[in-house]
Amino acid sequence: MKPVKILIADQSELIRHGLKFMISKHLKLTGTIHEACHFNELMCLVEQEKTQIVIMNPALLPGGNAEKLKQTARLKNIPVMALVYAFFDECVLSQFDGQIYINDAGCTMREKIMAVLTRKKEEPAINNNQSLTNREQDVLRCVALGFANKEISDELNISINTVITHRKNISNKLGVKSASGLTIYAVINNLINTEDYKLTK
Amino acid sequence: MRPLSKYKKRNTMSCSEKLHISPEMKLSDVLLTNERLLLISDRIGLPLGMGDKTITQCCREHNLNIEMVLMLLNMYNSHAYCPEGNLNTDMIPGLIQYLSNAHFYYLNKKIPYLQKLLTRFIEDSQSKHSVLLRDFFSLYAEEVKAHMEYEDQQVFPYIQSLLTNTENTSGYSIDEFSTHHSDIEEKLTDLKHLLIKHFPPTSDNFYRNMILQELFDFEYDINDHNRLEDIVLVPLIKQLEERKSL
Repeated sequence: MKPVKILIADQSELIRHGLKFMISKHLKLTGTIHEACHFNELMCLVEQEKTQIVIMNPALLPGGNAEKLKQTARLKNIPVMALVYAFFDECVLSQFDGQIYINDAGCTMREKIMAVLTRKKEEPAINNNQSLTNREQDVLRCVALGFANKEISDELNISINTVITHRKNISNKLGVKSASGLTIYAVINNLINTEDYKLTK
Repeated sequence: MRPLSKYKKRNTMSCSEKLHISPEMKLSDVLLTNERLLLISDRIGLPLGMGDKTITQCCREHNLNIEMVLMLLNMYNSHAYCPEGNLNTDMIPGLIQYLSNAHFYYLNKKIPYLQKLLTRFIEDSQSKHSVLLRDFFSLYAEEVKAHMEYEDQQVFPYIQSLLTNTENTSGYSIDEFSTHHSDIEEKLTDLKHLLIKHFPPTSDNFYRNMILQELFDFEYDINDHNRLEDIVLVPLIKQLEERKSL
């Protein structure tokens, strides 16, 4: 295995050093481990260093939003894992490529990190396919026409959870989150007629 | 070819920014090193044309709390600056003034300016879809307006009542503000993506690029503004509330 450069970000020196110790003990990886204690330091290191994987406390994300970090990480193809030892909302954690828990055993942690590191190699272009699938286009059309999630689920005969997943994937692909922004996308791409649309939210 | 070091890096959010701004520095020198502080200094109430006066002298002349001014300048100058240790409740009146001025700037200057640029873009691009962008931005402008008005009409008067020790009958507390503090950056990000990636190519990109640069600029500004409210205003008001409940 080639040397791996890991970046650990947490406010606590104790946690950082603890994780560093665990990683060198259980992962038997050669390479360097960098540390960051706040978000801006983390961003600087991600931008400047040749990091291969980031393991961070989600609490460091400003407003729980990983978009800024993910943008840079995506460019450099760096996976970002969460180090979880407090309660976080699902929508915060879902932004990460993997999660390590404070009570994970050394071998579990090892498996998780290795899985993320190798996944990166197998499918380098996870989110690079920007074109929408046919189903996603159906969902997008409904969103653009002002349907609520429940109405979309009835219309397309899929569960609400599936609708939500589709919407999340659509937004990730297009970089557009709001319903009105998606409507504009749909009109520009002739998915709906200009007469049908109404910008609401 | 010129050596790379001769090119200046733009100062926005640069993490290499290590300069700590101190009271004996000339205000003009500080503004010349980081152009983003021009707006901040204006909102604080320090007008241009200050000559060679130091920050302390400027603050005295305009009756401003020096600690508050230094905190704001340093915060906007470098994200590595942590204001936590330097907060005291004497800063609150100046801070509220600053925030109100910033709100006024967003609602009465920045947003109308962006709307003007969008109108020019629509005229120039002659695309049947470009009107959509203006509608979208109008929705966004309403959102920002509601957000800022809530603070101007609910939060700031509440803080005033705490400062003047008048009875707070509304039952409001700053915790409510934290839960109310909505995300006003989503549509901004959407608009950037739409203009960069999705909107069809236009023959002339002058206004399109100009709008985008303004959007990036606005986003930085709003981001810093929210950071100021979250890590300076809220903790300070909590201090005030605790003191009152004793």
